[in-house]
Amino acid sequence: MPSEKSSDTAGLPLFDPNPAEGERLFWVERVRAALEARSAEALSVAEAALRALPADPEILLLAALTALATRRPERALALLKRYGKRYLPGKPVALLKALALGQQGYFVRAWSLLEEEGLTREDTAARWFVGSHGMFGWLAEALREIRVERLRSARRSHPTPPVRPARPQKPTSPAPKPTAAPLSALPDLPRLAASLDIAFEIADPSAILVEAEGEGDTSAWFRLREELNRLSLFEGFDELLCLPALRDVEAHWYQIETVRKVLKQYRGRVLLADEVGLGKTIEAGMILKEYALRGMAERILILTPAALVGQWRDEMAEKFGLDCATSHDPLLREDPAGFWAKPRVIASIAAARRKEHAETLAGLSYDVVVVDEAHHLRDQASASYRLVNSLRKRFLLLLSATPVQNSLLELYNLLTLLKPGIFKTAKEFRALYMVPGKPREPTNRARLRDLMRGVMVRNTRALASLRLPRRHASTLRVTPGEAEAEGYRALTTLVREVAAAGQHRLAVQHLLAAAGSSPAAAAAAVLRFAERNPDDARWQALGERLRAIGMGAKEAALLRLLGRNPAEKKMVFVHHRDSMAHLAERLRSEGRPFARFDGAMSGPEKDRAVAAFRDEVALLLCSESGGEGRNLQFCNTLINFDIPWNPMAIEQRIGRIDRIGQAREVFIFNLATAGTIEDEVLRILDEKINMFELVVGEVGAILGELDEQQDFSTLVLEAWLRATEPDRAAAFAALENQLLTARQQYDGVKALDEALFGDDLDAA
Amino acid sequence: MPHEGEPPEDSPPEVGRLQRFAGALLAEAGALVEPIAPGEIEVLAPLEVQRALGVADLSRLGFGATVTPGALRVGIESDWLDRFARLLDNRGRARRRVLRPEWRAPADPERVLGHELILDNATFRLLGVAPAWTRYLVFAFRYAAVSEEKREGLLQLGLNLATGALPDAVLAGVMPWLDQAGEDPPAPPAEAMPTSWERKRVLDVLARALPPRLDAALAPFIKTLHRRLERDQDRLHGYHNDLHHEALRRAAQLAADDPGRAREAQRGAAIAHEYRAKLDDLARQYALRVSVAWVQTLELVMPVQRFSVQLRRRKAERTLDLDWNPLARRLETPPCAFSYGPERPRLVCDDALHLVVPAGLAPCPACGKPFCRACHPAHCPKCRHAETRTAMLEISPREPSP
Repeated sequence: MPSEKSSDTAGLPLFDPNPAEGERLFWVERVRAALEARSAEALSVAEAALRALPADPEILLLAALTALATRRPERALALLKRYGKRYLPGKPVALLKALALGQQGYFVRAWSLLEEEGLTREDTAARWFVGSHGMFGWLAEALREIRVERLRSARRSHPTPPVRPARPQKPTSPAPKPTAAPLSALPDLPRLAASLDIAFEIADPSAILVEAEGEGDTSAWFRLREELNRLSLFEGFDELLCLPALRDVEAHWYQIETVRKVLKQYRGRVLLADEVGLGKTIEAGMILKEYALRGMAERILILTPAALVGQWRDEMAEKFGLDCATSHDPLLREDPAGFWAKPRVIASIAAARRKEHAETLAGLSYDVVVVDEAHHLRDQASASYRLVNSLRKRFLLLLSATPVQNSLLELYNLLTLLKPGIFKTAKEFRALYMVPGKPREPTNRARLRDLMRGVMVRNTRALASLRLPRRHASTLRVTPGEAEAEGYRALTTLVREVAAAGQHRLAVQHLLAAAGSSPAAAAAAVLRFAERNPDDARWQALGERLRAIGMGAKEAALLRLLGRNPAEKKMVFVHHRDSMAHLAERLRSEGRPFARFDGAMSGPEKDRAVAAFRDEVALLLCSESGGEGRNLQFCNTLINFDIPWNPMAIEQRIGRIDRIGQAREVFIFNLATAGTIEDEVLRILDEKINMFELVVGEVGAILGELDEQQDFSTLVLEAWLRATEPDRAAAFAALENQLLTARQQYDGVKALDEALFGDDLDAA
Repeated sequence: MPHEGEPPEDSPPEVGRLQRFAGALLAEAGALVEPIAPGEIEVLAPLEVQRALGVADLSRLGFGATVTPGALRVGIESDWLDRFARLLDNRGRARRRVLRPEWRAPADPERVLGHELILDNATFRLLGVAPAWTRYLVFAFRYAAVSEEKREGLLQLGLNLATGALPDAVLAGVMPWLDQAGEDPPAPPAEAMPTSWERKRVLDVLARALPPRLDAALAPFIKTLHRRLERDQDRLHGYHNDLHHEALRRAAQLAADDPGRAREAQRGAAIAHEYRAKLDDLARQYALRVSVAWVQTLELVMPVQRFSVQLRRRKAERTLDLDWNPLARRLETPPCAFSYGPERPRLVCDDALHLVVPAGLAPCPACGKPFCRACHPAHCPKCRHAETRTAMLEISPREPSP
């Protein structure tokens, strides 16, 4: 039951995304009340609510229901159509639509829709019904009518043929065998329903004190008992201590259930195999935090692919308050023993499995070990597997969206790490569970799943009812002016010289990235480089040439893009500060109001920026951290002014608005100047692996199939810096093929794991 | 709460919380407590404490993941909470607080009333507002919901002895003020306060009011159980349906007079029987038992503004009192005379002018005549059809909760 709205604003977010929430609740309650009372004025009340709040999703659905309750199916369908234009339809809409079709006499269509959505049963339909409990009888009756009338229609269109008398068989030939009835003609076993029986009892009511005698117990004893009761809830992990300690994390119900299950049932040893995009990292973080808060885990080791070390460090620190040393720290090289002795470490598995480190690690004890992308442990003979197997640990979390890639034996290997002896021996596992000659096909799927339930959790998007919005991505490839193109070419030539000399690798990357952003950013970067390298006068000259360009082609394109639908909210991601400053100046001079969000701002400043974006201006200029941890679902348009070379950074940006809660389709515009690295990166990501169609998180899964030692941006830079054009073309072609292969592999593995695990292994 | 044995600054918050609790409890029970190391305290315990905790007269307690040699590790997962409960014994069960906050009356009582009381089939009128004293009884319960999984939690339920309201939202606004209130002023004279209710009357209200609130608190858990039950039912039906089809198919392949056909028919019946039996097992497996144990009672005496409201429906009228609370700055919701649930009542019955939620005046499922379930709790007055209601609490003598 929704709780009463309190007048106390403590604990409410700093801004109310719906300033008229009070009015909305008023109308919702009025319409519900009129519906339940079957009031003759119900439809008038609903129409009045619609006039007041024409676009409110709940009002639209309730009004549609009211129309149905007053036998106005056409009105109901019109309202549902209006709903569909603004919001993603779901089961509640499908149910109402089916009821409307039923009222119009289209019983077969209504039934088909119910079947498609899995709403043919009353108890299932009741769960998606927007009406209240009092209307369940009405709903049941409506469904029954559709069911019965649909059957009648079916009989009318396929009448039973008249029975003919059987011809006597000739004695010389044996009686023909009757053919087996087709499966579809066999009647089903009648489906019965078991109800959930709930009983309440109060223990020892005679003990209840219905008043305090005098003043009662002292305040100290009273509070001690209060505190003891609260503390006792933490026994058994029903109450999670970590939830109030999370920062900028919206923990979903299936994640909380997963954490409870891992702590209570799996006792901290589990394979977290959620589908991509469901937040395995968040689940792992919550488990770590819970153990830390209970004093059950002081020493933590997180092993990840090299490309993800930084991401894990940032997430653990920002969201869970768990500061960790990482294998990026120079301490690892300077004093390995000192490094590994630290209580919380995030390390690339490639670094950790090196002989010198593996030996050190084998001598240490850990409370918790986490392994991300754990499918890399699929081979028992691999150094990674041997490393993890050799670690002394109490709790072990393995994370992988695709635990089985080539053979079921990989599953055996992973689960044996968690629970040695779970499958006895590999030979027995093969005999019991694998079809000979078909390494990916299980013989006894049900039994295998039963066993896996003891060590694995796999939440699916269907379970989480995650309806992710549709995405539309466009790339605007702009042609630079001559000066800009010449400047970029000159810069590229210079950086190739520097790179060939084996120097300034990071600076080279930065210079090229700045040049791909805007002439202003390029000029600033080049002039800074020139200051540090005064010997080569060409840098200074180039910097001045770039500065003279002024507005680049991308900036002009952006301003034109912003001019279309100026009232529509848009987020513009700009990585380079100089580009952002230049753009900001440009926008001000054109009189376009905007808000700005960057990582350097304080918390309150960021909140104000988001509030301004929500309530006052249509444009938010933001850096990479733009909008992080804030609710930005009121915006559905994102413009990538800069294109980061790391696709996961692009994905992070998209994830700000393409997330649970976004009810509208998402539009992504990518700006790239022709002939730049960014142009090349976009082409590969968009055209070759359709990155913008992927679910957030899948890019990482695909990139995980590439070279573990180098990240994608390094591979891109290496290709770009090749000396000759043919070499560059060949290098990019090779990178494309690698990515394509990785994508294909990923798709195949995804299909295999979906078939193998189904949706039987979720936490809830 | 006095703080003995402060945890080190960098220790996890909940380690500190358990340590603070233990230190305070031991000190209150007469022990001498001293911090000796980060996350460790030394305790000089009197006999009562030694017996309750099973410790020596001088002992060291450690609260971190690792403790120094010789110290006893105290954690939430061990039996230490039971030991602390033994030491606490029956103390801290009831307390009375008197609050006398600074406050101002609502400027527009009509608007306040109109916001809180919304009736679909009756009118109301504010007769007057006067200062008064009230007594809230705030009961704390601990519940355990056991099915194939377990959930535990705490639930608070408040009762206004003056008006009979169950002001959940009001008390949610009041409780945070208790820690800030300082020492209690003297209580008002007894004649100014509402009289105590008969014990049976209080227990009746609790028995009716707890189930809907427990339902709400357990809603996500119950939803999960429903989901799992449905999934298991689907699997069960799928499995037996396949066997059923197999039997039918085999039977269809045999001649009518073939004894094998009768055997297959028997097999089919046995499959159906097994399916029903397995379904019953499933229902038993998932059956949810929610047991509720009373923990504490807090009596809050405080001034309020009493709204006297006249309800009118058709030609009948009655007066209803609702209290406006100065700390929460809101008016309480009248209780539903049918469900006692947290939902706001919005209908008034014709006979006794009971305030009820729509389900309380719904048509009888048998004869279709609407009737007031507060007036007629047992059955429909017209056709005598008895409905299955939300389970009221069973009252069973059990061991008291620890």
